[in-house]
Amino acid sequence: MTARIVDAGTYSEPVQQALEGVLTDRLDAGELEPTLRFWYRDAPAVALGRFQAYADEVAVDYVAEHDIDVVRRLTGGGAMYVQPGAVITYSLYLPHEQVSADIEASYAELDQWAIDALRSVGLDVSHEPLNDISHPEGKIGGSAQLRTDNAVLHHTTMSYDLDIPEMLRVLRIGEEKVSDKAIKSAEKRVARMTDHVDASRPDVIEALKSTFADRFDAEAGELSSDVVAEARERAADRFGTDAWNRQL
Amino acid sequence: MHNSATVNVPDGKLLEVGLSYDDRITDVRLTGDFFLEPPESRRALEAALEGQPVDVAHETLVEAIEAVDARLIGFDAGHLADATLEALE
Repeated sequence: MTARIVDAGTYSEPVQQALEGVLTDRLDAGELEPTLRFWYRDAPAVALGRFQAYADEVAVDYVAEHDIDVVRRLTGGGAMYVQPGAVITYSLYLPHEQVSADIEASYAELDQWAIDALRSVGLDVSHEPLNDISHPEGKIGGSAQLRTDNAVLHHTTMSYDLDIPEMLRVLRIGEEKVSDKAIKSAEKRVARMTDHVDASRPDVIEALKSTFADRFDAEAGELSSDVVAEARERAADRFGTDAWNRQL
Repeated sequence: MHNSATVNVPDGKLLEVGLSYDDRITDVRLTGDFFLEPPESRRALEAALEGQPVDVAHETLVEAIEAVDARLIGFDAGHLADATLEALE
């Protein structure tokens, strides 16, 4: 397989999540080659799982007071608190024929190159079904997928040096008493790369890019201006609206 | 009556079912950190539970859920039936 690596572009959370739909649709229509994209954000945000209830996951008053964008993803899974420079997020857009039809197996396969890259910088990580990248000290990242007729979107967010006390103020897992949910989530502690290795964030991204490029014959590329323009439209119509973000 | 119940799937995801009921189930809301393909089938799963009598058997709920054209990931029809019956208690 030949692929493209896009490692540029800083966007708001609504535009980032809108890009996921635009790029998945372009690949689905045969208009995009297999692509790995790294994300750069301009502000802290919460990426909410598609099926999660807004008020169950975020501290509603706190995110309002601090102007934190809460954006519902196209993909299922759990809420992630993200800060510019403190997490590493990447997306893969692939045709179905390059991905295992078995969903559980496909998470393991599509995480493996990243796990190998993290090990190369000294992190003791492994895939933990269904969709976690784990370190002995806790969960370092999580993945989520969306399938369309011809395309698979697989995106992953990992903690580089996330502000955990702030995360616990933003997400309701930090509350003392949020029923069983809090207990389950709090047990899954977040592990941060900086607590275990000296590698800089650009070093980690470089390791990810070179591992991916070696394995998949990839070259650098960029997003076309019409892709970005379409994402900005979708962000305005959907991912930046309460109608979408607070639907549940 | 309105009620909700949460099921933690072992090694899986969390499902929350909110519903109203009198003699039948109405207004179901299914939320959580699970995966579903296609995502739009969430509404079809809720609709499969709506209209069921409050004394419905677990097996009947499982059949109704499995009749929906959806791929449940991180949970199965039995877990959704469990959460539904718990919300009716």
